[in-house]
Amino acid sequence: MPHETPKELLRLNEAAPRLFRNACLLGIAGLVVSLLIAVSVDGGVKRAYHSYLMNFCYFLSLSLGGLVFVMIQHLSRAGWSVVVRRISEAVAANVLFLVVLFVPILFGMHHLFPWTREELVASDPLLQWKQPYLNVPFFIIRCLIYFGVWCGLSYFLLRWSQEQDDSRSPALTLRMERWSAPGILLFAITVTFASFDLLMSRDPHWFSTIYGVYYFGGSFLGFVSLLPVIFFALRLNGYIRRSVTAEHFHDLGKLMLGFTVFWAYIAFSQFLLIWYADLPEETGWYARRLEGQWGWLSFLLLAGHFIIPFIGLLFRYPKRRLRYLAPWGLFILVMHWLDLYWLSMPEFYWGVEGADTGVIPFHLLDLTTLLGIGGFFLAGTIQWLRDCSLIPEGDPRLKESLSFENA
Amino acid sequence: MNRRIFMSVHECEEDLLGVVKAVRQQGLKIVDIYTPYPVHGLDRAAGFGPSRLPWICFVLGLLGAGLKVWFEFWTTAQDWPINVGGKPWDSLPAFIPVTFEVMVLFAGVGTVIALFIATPLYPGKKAVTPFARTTDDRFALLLEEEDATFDPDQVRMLCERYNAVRVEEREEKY
Repeated sequence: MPHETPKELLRLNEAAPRLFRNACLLGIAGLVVSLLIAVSVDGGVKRAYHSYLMNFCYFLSLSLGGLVFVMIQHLSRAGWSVVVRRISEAVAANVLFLVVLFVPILFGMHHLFPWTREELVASDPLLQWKQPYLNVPFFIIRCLIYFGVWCGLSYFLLRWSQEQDDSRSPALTLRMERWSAPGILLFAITVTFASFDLLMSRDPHWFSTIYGVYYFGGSFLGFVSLLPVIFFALRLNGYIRRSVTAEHFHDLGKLMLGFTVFWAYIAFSQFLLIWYADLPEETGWYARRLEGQWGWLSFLLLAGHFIIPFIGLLFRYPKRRLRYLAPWGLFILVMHWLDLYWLSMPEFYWGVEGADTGVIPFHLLDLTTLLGIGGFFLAGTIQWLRDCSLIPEGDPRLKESLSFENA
Repeated sequence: MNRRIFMSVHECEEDLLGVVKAVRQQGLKIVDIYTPYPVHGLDRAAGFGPSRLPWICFVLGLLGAGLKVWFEFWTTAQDWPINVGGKPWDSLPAFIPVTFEVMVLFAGVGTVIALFIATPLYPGKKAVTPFARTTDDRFALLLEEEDATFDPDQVRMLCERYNAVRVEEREEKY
């Protein structure tokens, strides 16, 4: 079944090796500079680990957002999204590279997770009580399960889709659909517990059952905001100028708007219950985030993560024009980064006596590790797209997607 | 006041879309189009602008949210202050869920009412069809014969090129 695809640049071809090398250089530079700062500054290693974990969780969230986006498209048999699916698959498959970048975290656990520090556990009955769950071997086993699930799903969803480019077999579409059903269930469970383990357990006294949904909401929002940015960059260099149209950007814009609201809804749901019940074991987490400079960051998130993009994306005009949608995507990506900073970094002071907890511990390392992991993230995406088309050319719904119109 | 209406009936949506585009090129004024089901692309072919309902929805949502915040502030903090769990009287977070619901209520119900008024269409209204079979399997296009330059014969020929199965003129009060 050959489809007529418009004539345009659909493969990275000879540009790929150069882009890959530059992205890798950026990643190496970022991590080497981080390492140099970490060993030369007093207390730098601990600081570097905190930045590293936060930025790791940031890029992990983008990949996971891509993975669930792809699975939703398969499960709903979506026609519109076929032309944006290949890039999503590649971003999702970056989880395989993130596994390698996860290894350093295992060596710095005593800096990041108070429940791994024996002197703290010995004097803290609550931490002792949580030991059956919060202990190092079980943590590593859980992480192996999480990454196993994500790597398996994202790798095969990408590979089968690439296989379909040549074979054009509709059977592969059905296979991806069948695997997405258990996949999305496993995704929900693993992402929830991964967010508990990697971020929430940084304050091992505090707990919130909606935390996983909060991390998921930010992930999906981050990913659908990343897509227009990627397409903008591709278009600027002459790729995919015709297949992906205003109609597709309109729908991505709707998802951005929808998940901006979703994020706010979940964030407020978490806040309201804790604020209303006013129980000491729950309020501490928010008290830290409303104190001093953190309070300003909280209000910045309320404005920048919800109110401003909500108004900006509410109307039809910016959603249908990539030159407006891509900057909004970038804006939301910055806000998502600040959101993870806000989630993770106040726990920098956990268990530290006499620290001025109202001060945001901003450090150059936050940015160098961002560039480091970001460089490798970019390189990974390019690596997955090196030898294949930028849109799934063999998908039986491609034609529907190319001629898609918002009714 | 009376106006003269020119009606052309077609059997399938492709013909209708074709004739709609053709009469627009001729600069004729479309009064209305009747179809048995929503035809994709018809509003664009007929040159109807984007719907104004989203704006009504937006304004009503703001109005609902604003009124509700004011009302909650007035009831719990001003007119009859009640101490709930030691919280301040004007505790905004507690107002948000209800504000959200009232915003949705105003925006949702208000938009439907606005649609009823604008179309005009409301429950119990007697159906107005220029041609009864448009509720079954026919597509009718209604044009207004605005002035003397409207040549019924020429328009009839144009419509017949798109397989019009029935063409007629009638006078209508409005």
